Amino acid sequence: MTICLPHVKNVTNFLIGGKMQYIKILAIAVVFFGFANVSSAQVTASHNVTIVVPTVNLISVSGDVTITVGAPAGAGSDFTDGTASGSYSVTTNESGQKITAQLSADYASGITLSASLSSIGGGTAAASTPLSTVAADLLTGMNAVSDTGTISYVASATAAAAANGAGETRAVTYTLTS
Amino acid sequence: MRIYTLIIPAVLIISASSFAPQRANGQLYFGTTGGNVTLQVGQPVAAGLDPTPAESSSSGLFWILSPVLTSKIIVTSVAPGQSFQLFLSASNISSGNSAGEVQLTDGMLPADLVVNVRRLGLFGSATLNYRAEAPAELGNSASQGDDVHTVIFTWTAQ
Repeated sequence: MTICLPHVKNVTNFLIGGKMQYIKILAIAVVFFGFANVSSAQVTASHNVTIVVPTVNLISVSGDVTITVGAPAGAGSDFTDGTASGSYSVTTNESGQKITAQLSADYASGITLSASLSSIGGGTAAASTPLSTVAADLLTGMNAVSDTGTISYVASATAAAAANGAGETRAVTYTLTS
Repeated sequence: MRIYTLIIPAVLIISASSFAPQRANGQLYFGTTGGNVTLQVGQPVAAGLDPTPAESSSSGLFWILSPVLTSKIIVTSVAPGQSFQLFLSASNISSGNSAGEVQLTDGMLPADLVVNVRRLGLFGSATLNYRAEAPAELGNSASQGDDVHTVIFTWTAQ
């Protein structure tokens, strides 16, 4: 137990004054409490800190894509596939999520757009999958992750597909879901 | 006169023990201010990025009458089932130096938070700066529950 000398001095001067009294008080205090081992003096204080983390599920894709299929290799042959790529980004802090994709409307008869995703979050990527107005699983079994992957598109057209001028535009919607 | 020599030490003891903060050797008063802290991690700025860290400087430490000429404050944490990341540093220290940022983990060994605390005046204080991070792979509170740290500060001789 340590005694703070300046503090004691102030109080004693205030109450009784006199140097002798001050010395007496110090002597008694030392008897009461002994000399302090200040090197081992420790005091603790504490409080609680709580961390709250919301559920996060975000997905975004890169900009628009235009794909031009190539001319058939010969009469009666299908058009040569056209390819393009994009990227997608995901943040999810839930496990077991998947990504689906679907078209806003089907392309004209004979034209098919297929897509595949590179794997992120340890998910299982499906092979290049023809897209339609029904959602198709492109990546399943994802773990919680924040990352960016690649989208690979393949556009194909049969020999029966009609020329479509400037092209047909469809929205491809990607959904991150459980 | 003899009566005063008995009363005054007793008065000193009683007055000292009436302070809420803890004390050591009848002369150090050491405690936290601002109460408990809650850190709410935010949504990511964009997909592909981790959730936004949460920060708080709403709490602090204060002390009255350092018992030794040079002291330090060390910190540890108890957080059973900890899932997320918590960091702490001290600033606005009235008499001492920050030991830098400390990552608080459950059952960690005590780490220096403030060093070279000198007995320059009767009172001293410091601001506590907390930062919580929850990279996506660490999950969320809905599945794992909130992290609750009991952060323990110890004043000790340096």
